[in-house]
Amino acid sequence: MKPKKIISVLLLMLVAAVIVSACSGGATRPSGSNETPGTTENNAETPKFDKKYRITTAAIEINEGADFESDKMLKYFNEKFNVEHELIPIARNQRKEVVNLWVSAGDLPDMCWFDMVYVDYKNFSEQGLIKALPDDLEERFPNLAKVLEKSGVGKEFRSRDPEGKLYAIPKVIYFDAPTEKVIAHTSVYYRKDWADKVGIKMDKLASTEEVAQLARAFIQQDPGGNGPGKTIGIAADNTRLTQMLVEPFNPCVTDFFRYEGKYIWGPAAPGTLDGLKVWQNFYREGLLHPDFYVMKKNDPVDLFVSGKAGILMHDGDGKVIQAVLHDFKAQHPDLDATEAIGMFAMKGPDGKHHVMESVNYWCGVIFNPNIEDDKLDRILHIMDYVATEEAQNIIRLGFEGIDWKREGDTIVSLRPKDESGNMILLKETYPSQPYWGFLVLTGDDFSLRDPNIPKAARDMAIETFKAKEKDGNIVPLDFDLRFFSGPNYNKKGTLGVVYDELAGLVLKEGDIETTWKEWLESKADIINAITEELNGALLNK
Amino acid sequence: MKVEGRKLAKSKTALDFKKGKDIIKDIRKAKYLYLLLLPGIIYYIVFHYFPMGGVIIAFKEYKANLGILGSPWIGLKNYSFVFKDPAFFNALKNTLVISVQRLIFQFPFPVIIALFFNEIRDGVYKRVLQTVFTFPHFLSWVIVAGILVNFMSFNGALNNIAELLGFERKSFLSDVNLFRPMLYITENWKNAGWQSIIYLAAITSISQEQYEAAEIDGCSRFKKMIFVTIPNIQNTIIILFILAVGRIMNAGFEQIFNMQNPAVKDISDILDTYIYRITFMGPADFSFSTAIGLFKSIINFILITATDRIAKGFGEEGLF
Amino acid sequence: MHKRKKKRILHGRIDAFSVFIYITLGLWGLIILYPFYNAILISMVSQYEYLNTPFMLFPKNIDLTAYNVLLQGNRLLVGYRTTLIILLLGVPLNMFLTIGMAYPLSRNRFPGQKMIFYFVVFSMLFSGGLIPLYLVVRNLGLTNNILAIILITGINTFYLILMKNYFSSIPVSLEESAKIDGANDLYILFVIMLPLAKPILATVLLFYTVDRWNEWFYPMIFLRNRNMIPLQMILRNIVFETTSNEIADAAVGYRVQVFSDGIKMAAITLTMTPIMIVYPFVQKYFMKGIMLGSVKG
Repeated sequence: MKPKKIISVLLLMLVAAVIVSACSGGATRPSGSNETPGTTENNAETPKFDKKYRITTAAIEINEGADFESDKMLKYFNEKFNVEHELIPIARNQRKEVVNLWVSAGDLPDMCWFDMVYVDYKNFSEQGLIKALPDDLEERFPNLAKVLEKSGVGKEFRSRDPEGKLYAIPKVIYFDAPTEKVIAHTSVYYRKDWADKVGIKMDKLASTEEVAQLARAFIQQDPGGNGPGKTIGIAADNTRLTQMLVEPFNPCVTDFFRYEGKYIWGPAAPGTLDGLKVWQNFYREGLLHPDFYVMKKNDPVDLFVSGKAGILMHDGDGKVIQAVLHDFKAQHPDLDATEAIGMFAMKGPDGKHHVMESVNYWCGVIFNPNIEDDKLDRILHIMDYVATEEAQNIIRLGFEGIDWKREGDTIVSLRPKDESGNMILLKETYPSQPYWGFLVLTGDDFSLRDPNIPKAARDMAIETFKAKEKDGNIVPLDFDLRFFSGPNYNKKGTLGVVYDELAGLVLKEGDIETTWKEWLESKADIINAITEELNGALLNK
Repeated sequence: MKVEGRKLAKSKTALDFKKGKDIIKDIRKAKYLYLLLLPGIIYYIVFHYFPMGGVIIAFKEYKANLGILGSPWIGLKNYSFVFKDPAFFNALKNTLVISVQRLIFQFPFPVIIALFFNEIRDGVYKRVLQTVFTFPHFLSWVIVAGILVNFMSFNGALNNIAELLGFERKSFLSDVNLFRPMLYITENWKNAGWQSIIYLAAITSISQEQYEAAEIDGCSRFKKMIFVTIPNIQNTIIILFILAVGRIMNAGFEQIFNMQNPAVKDISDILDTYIYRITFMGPADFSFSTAIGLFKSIINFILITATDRIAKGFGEEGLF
Repeated sequence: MHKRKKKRILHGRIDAFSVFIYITLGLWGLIILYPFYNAILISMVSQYEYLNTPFMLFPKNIDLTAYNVLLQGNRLLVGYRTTLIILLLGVPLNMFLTIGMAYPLSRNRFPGQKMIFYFVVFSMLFSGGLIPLYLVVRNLGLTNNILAIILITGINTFYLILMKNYFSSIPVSLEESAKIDGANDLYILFVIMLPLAKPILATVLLFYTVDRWNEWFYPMIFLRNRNMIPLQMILRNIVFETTSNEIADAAVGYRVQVFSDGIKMAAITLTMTPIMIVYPFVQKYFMKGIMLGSVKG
């Protein structure tokens, strides 16, 4: 081929490439608003929505390639508020880093998911990288005011800001928590039918020793018929085992906390060693899955649901319980799931359930600093509406008359079912549903009263909550620590993820006390650097 | 048996230019070469050198609203924490040890595979095998690690085989002595086939006369491999080795991150996993990540130039 | 110059060594193949069968739920399409830029050659990090533009070095005679050098293609269009969703009744299959190219 011809071909390809990509490239421009002067559509609502806005929103629940054009739920919200949403997915496994990068580079969409690490929130707000929300937000948007109040941090954020401004909307977990203080719903599932067979009855709270007895009986007597030695006692990974076996002795094991007036590191606190001993004994006796330390999130659940394991530590809110019951039933059609599965929580040597109070929010939404105030207002209207019961019903149940209807007091589902008789999930009909479902409220609240979740599952969750609270030692939240930023403390990641570190200790040969002490010794310098920093800053407040 | 060297391009000819002598004329003579270089140079400037200026945030406390230039200088403060942290030094040690072990146990494999493939007659067997050898390269470590963990788990296939052979079931995954060897073996499994391609390409350009001469000398297949094939690809091997040394501070994050478990953390923690842990559990700190990145780059740079010098000292061509 | 069949001389004898080689390579091939076969099996059976069959060689009941889950919606289609676009735009650019630099750098006859080479290698070692890169891309107006993805990985310096190295080994005498005949450098490159460099061209082309196929990192940062997400990114999302330990995913929607390993393996199979189908054809040409390149004057 003549050289000139080759060059021209290559040049043509380059030109073609530029043209193609200019046409096919993203439709969005970098940050900033871009309202389209709109015709008023079908708002029976309020005249103040006469300008049509195009909102770019990035969130982690948005799936690639989803067909939002025919999504009726999205259309509903779009029409109600005279907006157009452009939904941007965020990569799941590096969401925090990606969003931090976008914020720091000044390239946020109009609104964006944010993981609400307070130090980042503070830094970003100080540097003007995220938008300050209106001072009268709580007045004009009563539902958002409720969200802020229930989350427990609305006032905290404002009071810690030098100008009293707020820069993010947290996603609240419970409007009406089943317990006075919000606590984790993580609980223990077990095979009640097997327990009956081996003659053990479990109360709503169990000690680690009682759990050991149960596991032992399951393994030795094999009530599930798995074959000798094939039944797994407890299906749980590092996180769950820490929660199950160590937290009853020291609920604050996963982080620094204030103990007897001073800050210490969780794993160094008393009680940790007792928990570790229990854990190691369980492991060495064979009550745990032999590869518990490499399990990923769903492995334990798979084992329990398939009947290979008799005890499972897992999320215990209504949604998840229902999922477990449902999957169990699919694999054991001849059993009654609600009879076969029971739930309890852990208690410490003093008979109480020990747990740290949780914050009542999870992640949040931040806004582009250059967003127009009017556009921001529109978004806040939308978010305010999402927090209402009417909107929550639509988001969680679907549209009245189409997906459900009222019959007297009860709500009857009209959702179609698939071949196996399972209700087709809302998100399959309305791809944007997970987005709405996690925008302002996380859905834990609704799952307590979701009519699509069988009452048995909901009751199981609520009963366990009540049992935890009744005999519970709930360690109150320490906002000072939660919102602390210091050069050493910010690098506490070097100490490792506590769940995994403790698992590492358990797996080592030899005496656990020696191992534990040596491990703490090796980290002493860093631990002391951090506790000194904390004590210096926080004790004198 | 003397092998024609690879030094052909460097031999003195009328085309070489002599430094200093009428530079303008040389530039004009080589104008098409410059033209060819231009797009690439622009690419490097825009996408590598412009951003490279940002490396100064390693010595600053980066504040996005002040920008890279406006952020305050803090000197070496970004390093003060890690240089006091025993976990950092452990990670550094592991990084070096693992990288060196990779050079010993991983680097030769693609070469060996290429040499072996060269000895096989063309045909279906060869082509199928070569295709199969490249498969694992296309998987991410997220997935391969999943497969491997499955394979080596307590109730997994490896243990099943062991049991069949009369051994007791073992917890392979928590065995500290097995982890690093397993890293190297599985890395070979995943990538050696793919990396052998470059050596295959180098081998196929060896002239036949050399083999024929060797044949006449009565060389066995094995001897031909040693005395003909290897010397001819020597240069390629050395270049790739030097480049591998230039990546010593990297040690394979994706693989280790996905295969690590608490039982083996102490011996498998490398710089990148150490950094990941800190940034994962802490606030965004770009200055810090850049600082450590710079640290790694400097060490890589020192090592790569040193290795290049050593190679030249042995009479090889080296990288530069 | 005439082509000589390597085979007759080289492969005349079958000695112990060659038997050893055949067997070793064969075994290695099996070791690679078995986990893949296993992965395909796992993707096709129910969780129950998987947990209860230690040595699956053939599935008892084929259960394709995992595939149904993955193929729902357009997720994977978007991935394939995006990755294909990246490939078709990116690889030609890669080759163009790389050849453009590799050839001149392999010729030691113009001022600045050494300096430019140092310039290139230095960039491989030092980097300013993500923020500066992001700012550069943004100042070019290329955020959320697929062109950014195409351009950022325009040259892989490692491959550039390999190609330059190969070009260096082509005898200068060829150039000299061409120059005498009045050819300029472009003619030499395209008419003389490239045909001789087929092995390295095929190799680097393959490498770039696969790199583009696997690309996900820069798209993750720069692309914001949910219809422009490369395959590997989607795959990582899927695997992450079913195996992550992080609590936030409970809010994202509870898991479907397919076990996580099954989904993982189905995802692998779906990504690999096109490659497994295409590669043998590519490789046939590729190997032939390599063989043809063994012509030396």
